[in-house]
Amino acid sequence: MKKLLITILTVFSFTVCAGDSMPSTHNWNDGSTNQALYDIALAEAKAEQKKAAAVEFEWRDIGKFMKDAKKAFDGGDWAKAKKLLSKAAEQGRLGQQQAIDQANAGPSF
Amino acid sequence: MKKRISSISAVITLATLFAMPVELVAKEMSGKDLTFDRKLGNCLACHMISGGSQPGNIGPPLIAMKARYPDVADLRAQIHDATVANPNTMMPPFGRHNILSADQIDKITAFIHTL
Amino acid sequence: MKKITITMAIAAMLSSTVALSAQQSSAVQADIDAYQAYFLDRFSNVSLQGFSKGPYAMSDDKMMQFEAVMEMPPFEDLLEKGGELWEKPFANGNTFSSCFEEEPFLIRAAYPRWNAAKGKVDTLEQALVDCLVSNGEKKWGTGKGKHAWVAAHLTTLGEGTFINVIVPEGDEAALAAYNDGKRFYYAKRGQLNLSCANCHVGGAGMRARGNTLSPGLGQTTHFPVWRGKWAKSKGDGFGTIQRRYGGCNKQVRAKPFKRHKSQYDNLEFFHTAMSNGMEITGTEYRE
Repeated sequence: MKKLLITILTVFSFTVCAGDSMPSTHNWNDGSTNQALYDIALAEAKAEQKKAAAVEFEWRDIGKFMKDAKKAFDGGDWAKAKKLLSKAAEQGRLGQQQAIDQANAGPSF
Repeated sequence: MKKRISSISAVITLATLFAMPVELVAKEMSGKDLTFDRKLGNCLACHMISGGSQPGNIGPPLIAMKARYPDVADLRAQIHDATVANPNTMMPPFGRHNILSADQIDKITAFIHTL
Repeated sequence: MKKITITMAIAAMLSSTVALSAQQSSAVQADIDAYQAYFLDRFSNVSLQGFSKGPYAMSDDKMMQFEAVMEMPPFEDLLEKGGELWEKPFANGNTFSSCFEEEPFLIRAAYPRWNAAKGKVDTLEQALVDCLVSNGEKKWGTGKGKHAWVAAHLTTLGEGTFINVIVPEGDEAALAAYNDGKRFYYAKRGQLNLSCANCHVGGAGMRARGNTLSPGLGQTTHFPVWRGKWAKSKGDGFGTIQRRYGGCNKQVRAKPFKRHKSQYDNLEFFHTAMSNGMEITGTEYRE
């Protein structure tokens, strides 16, 4: 929770300071808000990916989703980026669940 | 001038060519298309299905589905997460693992139930 | 004749080292017996050694195709290059054989094995890389190319020797590594939620589309293999067992692990032990 708050604050202060330069790279009306939301969503996806990797159940495409999200975001498509990042985070969570479900896997004969 | 017109028309043609199919494919994939698509349902990987070529035989042939699943909701549940009925099944949990969307599962369920 | 000589050589070697070599863990031996019995019961027309032919043992048609390819193997040249690299002196004058205690034809079956001093599994493929490093040579990329050719050369030299992976009775760390590999083998993974065992134990002999799933028993008798599929995509067709593990993991949409780290080393340890008593058949063709 504390981490999240710090992230939000950092991102917020960053976007306020960088507000002027934003519109030139991202041409949405509320570019700075989206940047903040993107950074939060990316941080979450990365955290879930890391947890899944730590229990050795990371899925194949999480990294690809994050790459595609960056491309979409840089291209101005925040909605698509958001969708991809939440997909990445969800796959991270599902991988962690799989690790729990399969902790006692063994032969059935 | 002529060159300009042709280049404009080329751009338009290209744009329609690229834009159209994506829209059409996304909107018009039927239950049958989704069932047979190798990256989506890919049901033929394991099941014999009437109208599909080179089926696998890991799962049972998909025939007499109405008799096997009088309640279509049971069939949908099986496609959504087959591990509920059998934890060691080879069938991927298409819904639980988001391999397919809820809408795609609805369409596939409807199609398979007609078999 | 060659076979008999080799068998006798092994028997002689086994009897001479029996006092020194550790006894198989009884838990592991029970696993091996159950695993092999499952396949032998289910495919009653296939002998233990027959399982090394994988999907080809399940169909006469497929076996004919396999035998036709093996008449004139498409990998002869690369295998020969592997042999040349094996013999070629490093800058310091040593060759690969200086890194191994065994006669070259016994090297393949000597791995994977438990390294009690390091507390980890040693694989032949890692030993080849270590050998380069300890001789001041540059590391090779693993899994395919030169690395796989040399390993394939040793597999071919090892034809007729027997897989005999030992998890020493009473060695907790060795058993833990084995159990880690066992858990990996039976755990469903990736978005498609499939374990190694799902396809290669329960699904063995069945078809996914047109492809027959190979039985897990005997899979380690003939690696590195030359695969038609690999020859068509990247590289030259040759790949090590750990390259194959990565491909399997990707197919079930799980992120593959790095080669020659604990995950695949322990898996190779377990996987190979399951085929104890089977003959190394030399490097082979696979689809």
